[in-house]
Amino acid sequence: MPIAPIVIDGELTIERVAELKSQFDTTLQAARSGDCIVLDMTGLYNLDGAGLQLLLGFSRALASLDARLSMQGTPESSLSLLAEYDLLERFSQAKPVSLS
Amino acid sequence: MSKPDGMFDEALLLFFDESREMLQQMESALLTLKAGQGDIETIHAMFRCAHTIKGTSGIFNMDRVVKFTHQVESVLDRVRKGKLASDPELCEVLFSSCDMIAALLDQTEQHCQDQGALAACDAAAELLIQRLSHFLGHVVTAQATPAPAEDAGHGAEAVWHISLRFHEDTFRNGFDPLSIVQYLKTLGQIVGLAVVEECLPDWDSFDPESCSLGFEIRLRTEATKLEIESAFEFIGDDCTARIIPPTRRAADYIALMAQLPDEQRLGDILVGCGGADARSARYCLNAATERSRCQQWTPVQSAGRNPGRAKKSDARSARCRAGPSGQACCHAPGNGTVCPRTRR
Repeated sequence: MPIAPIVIDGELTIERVAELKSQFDTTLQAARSGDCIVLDMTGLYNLDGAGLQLLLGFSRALASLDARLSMQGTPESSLSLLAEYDLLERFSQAKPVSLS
Repeated sequence: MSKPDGMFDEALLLFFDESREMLQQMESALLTLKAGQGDIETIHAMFRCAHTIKGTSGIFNMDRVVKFTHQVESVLDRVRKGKLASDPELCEVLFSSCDMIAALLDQTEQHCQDQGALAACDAAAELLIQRLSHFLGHVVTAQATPAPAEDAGHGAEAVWHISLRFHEDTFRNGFDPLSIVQYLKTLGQIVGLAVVEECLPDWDSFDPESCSLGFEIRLRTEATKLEIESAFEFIGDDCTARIIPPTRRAADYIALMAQLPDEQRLGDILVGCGGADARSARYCLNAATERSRCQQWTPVQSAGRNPGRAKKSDARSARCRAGPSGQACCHAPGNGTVCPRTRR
């Protein structure tokens, strides 16, 4: 059964990384080899260095389980930032998929 | 994490105080110039003031101050390079510019929320930018983003390599590593950028509020090493910056890798961002491997996670200095004594 996308609304910044890490912890416990975990970034409007580091850490944790991380609905500003840091390939952009 | 802590606030207060002092220095220098008593050092002093205000406000994400002061800095850059003569009209515009920088700083410091006052100030700043742009030989539109001083002819500009490692308290101290990169873009064009994530701990011990990031950056710029170092002035101990001049010599990269012995993938990263060619990287890697092998056989140097640092010559190399190859390693430019902290 696919894991539902994790919705990232608002800021992915130092103010929220602790809270989001707990959320990611729960997802990691359920993740299995071959899973693709999708972050729904549609509502994201601010990404800082701490947020970027959290994404990198989460991606590495998933890779250690042979799972991977993907994003959907990433706003243009965050896509530009990921491109600037040469991370677009790392966080592949998925098309929204209905789970129904 | 709540709001940025005291260290950030202190740095911010210091910045506002120092900026006002620098504006006073600029005005004194302008009076000297206007009286026909100035010399090249007067111009250099004014440029340094504008450059420092721009650079530091960039660190604090004060985009309005950065944008305006950048234009002032660019004009002064032309004067100090002898491409533009100072005359009463220029002095007048620069006097007004000092007032404008002070006004922008005041609004920022007071967290001005009055949209009317902000808009009026921005409109006045745009008019001054237009006037300043005439001294640059071109007209800047209102939407133009800050470009590096003398931004024509990038092809002839040198590409510097900047290796940054942020310390664990960087986020807690209110600094965002991305803002440093943002500031470096005002000095020139970033032609290569790689995130170094090798120091990120495993997820179980991952503290998201501790910073483990690093960047390898290729910066095409006409800026001097001192000007590049100024980007790291206010972040102080929270960042170790290693700056390699545009020599692209294998020796420089060997030195860089030797200073970061835990980062096994650094060679690949340097090649990936265009810092070193594959041959140099292989050479670096072989040298580092050889070095590591030697250190394993020397008990006194093998304690701790970074055994090489116990070596006397390495302790020396960890201090702020420009080595024979011109490579600089610094914290807080100007104090000249702070060493990069080894990760614990």
